[in-house]
Amino acid sequence: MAGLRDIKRRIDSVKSTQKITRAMKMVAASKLRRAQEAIMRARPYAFEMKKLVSSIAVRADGMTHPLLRAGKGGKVGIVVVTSDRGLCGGFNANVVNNIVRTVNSRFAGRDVEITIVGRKGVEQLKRRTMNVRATFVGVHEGSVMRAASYIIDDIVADFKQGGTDEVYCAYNEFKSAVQQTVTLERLLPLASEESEDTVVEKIEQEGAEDISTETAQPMDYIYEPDQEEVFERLLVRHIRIQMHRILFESAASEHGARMTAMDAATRNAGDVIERLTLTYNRARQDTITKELIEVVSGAEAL
Amino acid sequence: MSETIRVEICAPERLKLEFEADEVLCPGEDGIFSVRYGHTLLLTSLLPGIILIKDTKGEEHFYATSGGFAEIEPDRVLILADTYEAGTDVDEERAKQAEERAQIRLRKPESETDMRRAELSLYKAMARIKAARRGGY
Repeated sequence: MAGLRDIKRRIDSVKSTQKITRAMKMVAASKLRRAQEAIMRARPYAFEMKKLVSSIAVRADGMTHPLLRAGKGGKVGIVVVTSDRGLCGGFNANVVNNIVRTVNSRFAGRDVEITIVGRKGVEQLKRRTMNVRATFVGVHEGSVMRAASYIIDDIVADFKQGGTDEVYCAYNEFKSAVQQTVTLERLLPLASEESEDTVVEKIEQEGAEDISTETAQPMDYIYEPDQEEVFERLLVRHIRIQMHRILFESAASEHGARMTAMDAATRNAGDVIERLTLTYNRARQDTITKELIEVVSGAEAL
Repeated sequence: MSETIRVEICAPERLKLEFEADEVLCPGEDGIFSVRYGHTLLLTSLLPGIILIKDTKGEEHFYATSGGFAEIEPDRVLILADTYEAGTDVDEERAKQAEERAQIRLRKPESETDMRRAELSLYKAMARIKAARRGGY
């Protein structure tokens, strides 16, 4: 059997692939742990901020901050958060497919402009005919907070000027190490009375997160220094914080997805090795048997 | 008995802290203010400074903050700080160095924005030192 050496070579090749996938899985696992801690720390602040903003949006009747104004059905802005690296299963494809679907159904006929975060998203969405506002890569290489401001400030400015009427963000929400959910969250306009909280669309599972916006209290706050100033600062900060949180959510999800994907790849490689080894042993046995037959029949011929 | 306030402090990338307190002092935009049970609804931005929490056990907790927001309700204070640091965690040596750096920068005026930033970092450094020394109020 001529294939003996070929099989051996393939086994070695799969083994080295398995080594890589196993190493990647370990790296992802340790990065995941750190990312998970980061998201757990980022969430309370972002959550309290959101609660506060919702509650003042309800109370501050007649307050017309540009970030609170309801859209008129004009242009929709979507921030798509993907990863810079691949080999993380359906992580990026899920977001991209979700976006394409949403744009074609929910926002059908509307002018949509997307902002892409992450190299993979750029690669995958470039091929589609979409109106791209800006792209960002390497957001986790420096200060994430700065990156978040960088991404969102321009969009907020555009919204204030009336260039966009609604802004959404599509990203992988971190549920657990093995579960990430593609979420479409509304960033702007900020929650107002008629449009309750952020419109959240979940694909797999419903979020347990419910924000209890108390019924409008007649009592308003005293604002220091004054309402307008506090609103302006708080709302701008709020938007940045949400973006910041989203980037962390996405990072934790990415590592989780990669860990799962690499775990599966390692196991698959194991299966392939097992099968190839069986084939190899059988082939070797065949060769031995054939040789034996040759020897025996050779001896008999004498 | 029940006339206490619940104080919550959070900041990005920090865990949320909670206290049952008798009184809280905060560096508000329009000056330092004290909050006790039954305070009126107030929403204010904070300046760099010290947050002092006097808990129900009579202990005083000092935190340095670089600013943020505070939402005050009759029985609850929510502080959304940009950053916070417990006085006991402050590295006084480093805070002093930061203070000196800021002062040096302030002495030779450069562009408008740099001055503003230097001023802010000076206040932050001063707040950290005060928090470390359990002073400021």
